[in-house]
Amino acid sequence: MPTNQGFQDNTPAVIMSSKQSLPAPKSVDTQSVLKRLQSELMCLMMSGDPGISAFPEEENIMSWKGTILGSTETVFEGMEYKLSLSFPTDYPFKPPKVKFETACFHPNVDAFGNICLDILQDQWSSAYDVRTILLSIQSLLGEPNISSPLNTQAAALWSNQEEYRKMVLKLFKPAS
Amino acid sequence: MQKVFAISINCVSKMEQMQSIEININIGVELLRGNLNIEVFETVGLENHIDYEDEGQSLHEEHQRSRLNELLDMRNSENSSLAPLNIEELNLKSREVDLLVHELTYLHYNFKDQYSNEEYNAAQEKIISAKVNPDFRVKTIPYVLSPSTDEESETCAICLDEIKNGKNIGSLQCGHEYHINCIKRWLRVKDLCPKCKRQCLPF
Repeated sequence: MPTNQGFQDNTPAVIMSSKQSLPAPKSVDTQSVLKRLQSELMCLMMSGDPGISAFPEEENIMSWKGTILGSTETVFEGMEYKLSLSFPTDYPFKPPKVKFETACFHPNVDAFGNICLDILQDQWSSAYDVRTILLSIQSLLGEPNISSPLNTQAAALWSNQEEYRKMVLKLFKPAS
Repeated sequence: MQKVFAISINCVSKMEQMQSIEININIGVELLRGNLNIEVFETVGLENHIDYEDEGQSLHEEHQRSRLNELLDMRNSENSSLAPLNIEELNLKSREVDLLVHELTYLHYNFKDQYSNEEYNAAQEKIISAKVNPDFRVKTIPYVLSPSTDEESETCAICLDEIKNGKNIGSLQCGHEYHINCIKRWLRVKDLCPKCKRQCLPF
């Protein structure tokens, strides 16, 4: 039997009273989102996937900036695109809102940077994370879905890769 | 013998860090009086995520250390059943002091929020003493009082936390496992396994 004298007189009431004077803990909900995002950040930093990166914005872990490098042997090769990721308070049960911050001439990206990608909408799963999102967008760059384009001009030009590359270079404006 | 209690710390803004100091102090009192269970303790690598601005850091550190000293004095004088400890003996780095108190804060809140007084007291009866090793691997008694086995631990793909020792597991027909609360919540959103997207619950 362990000795238990030490805490017999110090009942939990002591703890309760000290707790009352303190700021209330965050709701479990918010805390679990923060915890999950911190785990993701750690994984991302450890994994070192080439061509993708992401980091929370200053003072707000619910809002991240990501970068994607266009894959080699695609018309986006060498281009660096910045994205914003905004996480809902019920993440990962709902997907984050992801947008291109750098203009991206792509069949499935509109003029405002909105992305048409199934896993960010109805095909979302709570097992996806920032890493899988960025990798998916990176592969979407080289493999657009031409049948449901947001940018019809880009979709029409896709068959001519040489001309397409010229457009990519012409329209690319690195984010400041 | 005991299962490892591992959590991560949610302390994002500087404000939260400052607020947590006060919480930490109170938790620290309980720890050092022997009111909290510290036997196995493992920090999840959050060292990189608690970054104080240079200016605030030394102040914060000084504050934490002097509080810890007071706490140790209090503990040593009040609790004769425990071997005396002093801050040099503990040999904690400033980060470790913070991590310790943060972890305890979390443990404390979780315990108090989720368990009845009876359970809480039952857990307390398991206290032997607070042992803090110089290499900062303190052992805590799990706040869930379950027999532990040394099975491999897995990660729940929803919350990314460890699934500990087969406790509170929700297993789907496809064989994928999650924390029961995590998967319940997801299934209310969509009736698909998050990992393999197979339909899992025939209604």
